[in-house]
Amino acid sequence: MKRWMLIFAISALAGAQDINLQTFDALRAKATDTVEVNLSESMLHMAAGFMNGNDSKQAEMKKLVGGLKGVYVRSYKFDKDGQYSAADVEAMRDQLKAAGWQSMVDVHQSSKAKEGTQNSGVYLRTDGKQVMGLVVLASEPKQLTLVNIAGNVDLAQLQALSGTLGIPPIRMGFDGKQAGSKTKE
Amino acid sequence: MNDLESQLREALRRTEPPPGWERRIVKRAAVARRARRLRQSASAIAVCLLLAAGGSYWQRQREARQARDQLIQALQITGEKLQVVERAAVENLNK
Repeated sequence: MKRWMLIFAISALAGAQDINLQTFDALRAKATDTVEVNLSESMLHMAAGFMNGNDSKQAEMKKLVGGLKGVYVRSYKFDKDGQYSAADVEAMRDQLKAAGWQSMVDVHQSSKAKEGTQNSGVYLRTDGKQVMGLVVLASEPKQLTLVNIAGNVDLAQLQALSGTLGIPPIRMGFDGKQAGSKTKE
Repeated sequence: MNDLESQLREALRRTEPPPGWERRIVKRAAVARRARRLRQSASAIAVCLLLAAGGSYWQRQREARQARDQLIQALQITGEKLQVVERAAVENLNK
């Protein structure tokens, strides 16, 4: 019975998360700074309940959170270059491609790969009309970050939040809710 | 005077309690004692329930605050990394 419950819990989590973040687990030991955020739908609802509806920005965030199924972050900072391999990043890219994520921005700088420069991308999952998931994969010389926002992501609302609550300006290369390809290698 | 004396005597005359009086008093005292214990127990249970509810509420508030802070942190990282990707894309385009 316990085993079935565990299998059910894992499959429910995997369904919500959509991406296997364990790919990066090995990097945790090498990192000097680690940020791991795991917010399931229920935790997001809990967070939304704690937001002040009278504050316009928090009200905006509350609306954004309403459609989300989960927010997951893995960010690892290293004290020197070369602590993760291009294969780690490629494994994640392959996983995203295999799961049907569409590349919105994809930057490869293979000529500088030995210096450990950018190898990043933004990926979307849509149901044809709405964005149902956003992944940001940022690979820097001393830092590797993956953000997975699962669920109905209102990009306009996400953009509206930028510049407040410590969130830096977000420019998604679009004006409204319609997401489009910005640049591709 | 005699009249007064006889009235006093009559008033102070020892009378036996009705049958079962002592039993009724003891029973009444026991009932009162039980009621007092019940009230004390109920009060203790109410205090425990209040403490538990307060603790649970406080715990939920703490978790909600943590979740909100984590969400803000996640959105901050999202914004930062979108900028990183954007810069990289622009650099690539300008090459």
